Amino acid sequence: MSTNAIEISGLVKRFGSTVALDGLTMNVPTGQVHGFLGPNGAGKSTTIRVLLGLLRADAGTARLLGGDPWHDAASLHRRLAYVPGDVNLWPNLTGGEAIDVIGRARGGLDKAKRAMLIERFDLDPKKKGRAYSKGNRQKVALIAALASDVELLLLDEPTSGLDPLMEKVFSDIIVSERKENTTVLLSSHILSEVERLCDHVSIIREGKVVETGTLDQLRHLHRTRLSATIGDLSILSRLDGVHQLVTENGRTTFEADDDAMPPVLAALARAGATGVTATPPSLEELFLSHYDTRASEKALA
Amino acid sequence: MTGFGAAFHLAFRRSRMFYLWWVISLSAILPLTVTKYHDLVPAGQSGQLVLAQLSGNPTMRALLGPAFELGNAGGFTFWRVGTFTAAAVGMMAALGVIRATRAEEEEGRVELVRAGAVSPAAPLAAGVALGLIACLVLGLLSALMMLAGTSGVAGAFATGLGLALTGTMFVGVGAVWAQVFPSARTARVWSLGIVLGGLYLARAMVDAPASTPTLDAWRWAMPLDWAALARPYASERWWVFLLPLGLTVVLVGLAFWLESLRDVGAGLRAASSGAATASPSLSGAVGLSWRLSRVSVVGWTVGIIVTAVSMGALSTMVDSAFTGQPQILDMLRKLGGGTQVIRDAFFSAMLSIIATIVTIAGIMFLSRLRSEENDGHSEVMLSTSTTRWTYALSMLAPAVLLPVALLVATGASLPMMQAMQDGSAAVIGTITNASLVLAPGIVLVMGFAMLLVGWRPRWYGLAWVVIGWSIFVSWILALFNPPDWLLRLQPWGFLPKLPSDPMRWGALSLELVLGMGMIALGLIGYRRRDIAGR
Repeated sequence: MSTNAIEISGLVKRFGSTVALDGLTMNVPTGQVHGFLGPNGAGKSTTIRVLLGLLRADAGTARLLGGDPWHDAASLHRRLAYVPGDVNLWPNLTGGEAIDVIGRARGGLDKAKRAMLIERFDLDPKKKGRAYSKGNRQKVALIAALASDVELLLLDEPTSGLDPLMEKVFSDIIVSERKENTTVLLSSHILSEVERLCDHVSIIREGKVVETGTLDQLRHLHRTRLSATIGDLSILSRLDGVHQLVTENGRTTFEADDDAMPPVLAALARAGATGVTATPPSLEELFLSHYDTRASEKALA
Repeated sequence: MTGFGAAFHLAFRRSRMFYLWWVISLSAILPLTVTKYHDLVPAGQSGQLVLAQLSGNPTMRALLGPAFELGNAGGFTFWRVGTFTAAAVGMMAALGVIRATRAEEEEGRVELVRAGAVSPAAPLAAGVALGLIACLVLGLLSALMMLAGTSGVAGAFATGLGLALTGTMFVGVGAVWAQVFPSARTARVWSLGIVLGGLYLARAMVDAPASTPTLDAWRWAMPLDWAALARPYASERWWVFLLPLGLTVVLVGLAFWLESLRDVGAGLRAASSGAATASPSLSGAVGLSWRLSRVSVVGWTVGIIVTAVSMGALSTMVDSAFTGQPQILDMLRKLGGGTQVIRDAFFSAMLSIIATIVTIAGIMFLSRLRSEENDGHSEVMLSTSTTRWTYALSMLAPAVLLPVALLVATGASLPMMQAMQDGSAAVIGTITNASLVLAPGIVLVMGFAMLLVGWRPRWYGLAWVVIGWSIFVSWILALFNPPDWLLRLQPWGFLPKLPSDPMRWGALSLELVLGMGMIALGLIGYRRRDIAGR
């Protein structure tokens, strides 16, 4: 149980002069649902493709389920399933046929599970690939991946194009997969989904992991936003770790570093603050602080 | 038409290199041939005699079309390469219009254009207009160059007009099939494989036998003969051009009408539904490869067998009286192989042509290994327990074996009629052997193609260049009395032409080893390189 399903260390991948992965290091313990986040072009798909043995790393090491993703590709692939970010089906195969082709190529799929998934995702498996909408193509890929019993799921933005109802179905299925100790690497931009599903999150930017931890741990690295009605601001403004102190219409708002919280709360009590609210950083703020680097996006576009 | 300008500009931007190369190479063929007229046809009586007999030869008529005036450079040139070039212009036109319309639509790009302030027919109009312009430019260039090389002004323009209008008919053909089928691949197969190939074969069957009133009447039903029937350099009949012009108008009109009936991205028929589960045979890379290619395998097989049997029927007309006419034999040698027996020369010539054609099938089949990668399908299959070896071989094996099988089948069926006529089955064995001996050429080309897929997939077009080169060498370059090594510098050039040539095991095994070596190297490359995603 304590082993890692994915171990990546110092991974480098270049495409010509572009550096897609620049010394990426991360671990995903077995049984964890690991959120993989980062702006477009940060290297998420490249990392997954290296893990699939589709791309050869230029430097660094990657281990997957105890094997080498490049050399042991075929045998490792029996134990994992992959959903690409941009699903394109064979135009003249039906969705049902595509599910079976992919499932059989992996080494077989669970027929009952396949039927259950088709039912829950409300997919018409008789339609030809070219007739599916983006969301339905995504469902085909999801069913093909989830219908096999595997140890590891590599999901690259698996819910893009799904409607909210289907996103919910997907979440429920991942929750039940987690109970069966399946490891999941979930690349996603949908923060509520990540918040609901993931035990652990890694944020990647410019080919490097810039932050990793549980959501709680990540929150601690960031400031809490407080607001209160305070008569005397002088105690508060003297404290370290208090930022952006603003009073408007008698209401004071400010941000406090996580380790400054005890003195801040004590100060608030002493100053007789009323109507105190404290909001932990929303995931959105957390991610935006990492995403919003235009220069890096330009470099990796 | 709202947005036509923008759509045309886009089509031009996307297809300019495509048309540039086609127009340059095709418009040069006739003018180049003209310059060699005096070397090919000796002056005076003997030259005329050679020409008369040459144009009376059913093989030559089948391959090249009807002859009207071989006594001048222009007329001879049009007979020698005109009909063939016109058919190639048709190929350019159909491919061009499909790539600008259906292929773009299939990739979802037409949707982007149509979402703008663009009238529904604008993308089709742009593709058609571009194709028509390319054909006319090609015709004009040919006419101007012929003007420089020959004395007849009318002949030069009739030549150019013949090429251009044969092309415009196929702008129409391509445009119509592009409306009918939702897949560009299918539209190409129907335009080239069935319509163009079928019409060339039909034309060959009508043109080959000695002229009779019935056959002469039938000839008017052969669109690929119309350019020749306008008689460039042989007292031109301008009104004949009304036929291709009329057909072009009808086909283009039909295409626009069909376009107005259908939805973006769809064909004429609503997409039918299919099986909810895959049949047991649709399993693994091999099952998938077969499923994706079975229609074209059947199509190619039927097409090649029909061609072989029809061409075999012509062989019974080949008159052995030509034996002993050195000039004619020399001419035939430049098409086929060096031989004393004209019938064998015919079989040799046919086998060489078919060997090239079936290799086209191989290159098309193997191109799937690349297109599947670009479409993101390889990524999905290779993230299952399918190994890269299995995956590559599932598409490489049919790409090598099918052409070889088709070539051998051609070898067996070409002489069928001959055998029935003179009751000797031996000829079947002989010609089958002759076809087998050409198989290493296929392996060589496919090896090169696999090498490209394995190491430089973006350069796959070079495999087509090899085919283009070998067609150029045997149809055009042969006329120029080039040094022997240059004439042989193509995949089938060094292989012995049985039964007239002695067996050369050396060349045969060398090509086989080279081909297999490149296949192995290509497979190694494919295993080592990055697989692109979508």
